[in-house]
Amino acid sequence: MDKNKLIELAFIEWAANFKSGDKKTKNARNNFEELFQKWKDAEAVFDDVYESYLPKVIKTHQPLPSVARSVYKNLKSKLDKSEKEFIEEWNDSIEATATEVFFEFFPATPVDHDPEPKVYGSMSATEYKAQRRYADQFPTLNTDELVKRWRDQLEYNLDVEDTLQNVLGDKNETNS
Amino acid sequence: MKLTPEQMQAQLKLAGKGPTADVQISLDDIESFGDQASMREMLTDIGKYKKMLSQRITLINDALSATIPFTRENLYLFCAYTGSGKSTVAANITYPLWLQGKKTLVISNEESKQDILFRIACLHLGLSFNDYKKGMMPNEDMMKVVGLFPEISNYVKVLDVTYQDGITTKIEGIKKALEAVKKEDSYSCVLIDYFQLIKYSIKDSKKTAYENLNDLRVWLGQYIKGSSMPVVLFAQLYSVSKKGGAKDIDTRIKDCSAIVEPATVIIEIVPNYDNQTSEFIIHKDRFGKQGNKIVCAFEKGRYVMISEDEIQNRTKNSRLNAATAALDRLQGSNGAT
Repeated sequence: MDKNKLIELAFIEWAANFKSGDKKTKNARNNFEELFQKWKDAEAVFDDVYESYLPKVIKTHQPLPSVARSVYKNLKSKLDKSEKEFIEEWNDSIEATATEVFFEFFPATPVDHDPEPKVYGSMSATEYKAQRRYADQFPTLNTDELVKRWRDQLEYNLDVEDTLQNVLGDKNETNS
Repeated sequence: MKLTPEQMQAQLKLAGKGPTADVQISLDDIESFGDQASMREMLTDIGKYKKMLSQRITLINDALSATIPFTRENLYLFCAYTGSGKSTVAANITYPLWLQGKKTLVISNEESKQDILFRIACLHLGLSFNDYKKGMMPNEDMMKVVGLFPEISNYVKVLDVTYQDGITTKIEGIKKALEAVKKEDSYSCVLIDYFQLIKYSIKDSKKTAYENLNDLRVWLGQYIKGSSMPVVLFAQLYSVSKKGGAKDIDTRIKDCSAIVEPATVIIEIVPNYDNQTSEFIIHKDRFGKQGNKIVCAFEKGRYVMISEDEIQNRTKNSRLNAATAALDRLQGSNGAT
């Protein structure tokens, strides 16, 4: 079958399934991943889907105005924002997730394409610097005490299951 | 055709619309909390949890073993950017277990079975696997390595991509292999290298890669609950620079990020070429060390424990070397002008 037809059918099928699927914003990433992977499998490239389909995909996942208004009414007492702000934020978050996931699957420039020479294993100097900056955010754990306890435990490793089971005495005893 | 009442019930049950079983909770049931039977149940569960922890096995080295209990009923997701050490970590997990006479199954969709055994033998002999790959290993050393293959393969069983025409890239193949070792009960660990390559289905060739990966992660979530051994799954990550340095691991796991849900532990491997260490960042951990990293020295292919002082020294030296190199470059360019 023609690639464009496959892309279109994948979208139609996804949109149909979505009607009865999990529409929660929390699940939006998974929903988008499902469709974009189908497109990838159909060998779609960025230009096949970006302008012609991405806006439709976002619209499909965004709540209907009546649904959004109804949700706002239910949550109104707990919210510190107007109906307009609430609906706009909801729609924006769906659009942001769709766009983010889309670019993961169809990067304008391939995600892992790095034209710089590989200096550190399979990484360029730029990628390596980014990895270092990223890893430096995490504190280093001092494992000395943990290792000491782990080694002690290996030495005195008692099986406590039976001991715990016997805490209450005979199994057949009752409360009475 | 008319259905009998029994057939109708059966159809409704299949559709999940059958009558629901009566649910009754009495006040007596609630009040019984704290009696001897419920105490016994709780203590039994505490005992089981303690037993699960006591059955932990070595995870690479003492620092990692002590921090992250490596034990049954857990799925360990090791993630890395391409070329950042997934296969090296797999060999480092397998090596100490082999030394202890513990059986391991390695399902590899990337490295060949001989390379997997070669890596483990190199770790044991202190030889460089990269030398072998570059054709720089002397024949004498190669013979020593190959000589260890029979001994290693007694305990390290490998299914690679050549096995049964690539069955390890198919979800059914992975399920069958995992079920087989579960039944056998003599395996201490299973490693799968790597997740994103298990994208096909034998039964349904129309299923997309995403659907297969998603099915696998749901199945793994169920599998580990009754598993008598830990399962280690490796996964590929997108590059950090293209993701703006996002701290959240979910957005960087390729193809099916939902694998984070069944994983009980998620560790990212980040090599540090400046000071010859590797960092194991703990992104998810049911044992309480999430958000930290463990630094290990990388020596002759092995991740070994290193003291904090040694890390500081190495870091200082690497900075000093970088500054000296920069100064030399500057002086060189001044001299040239």
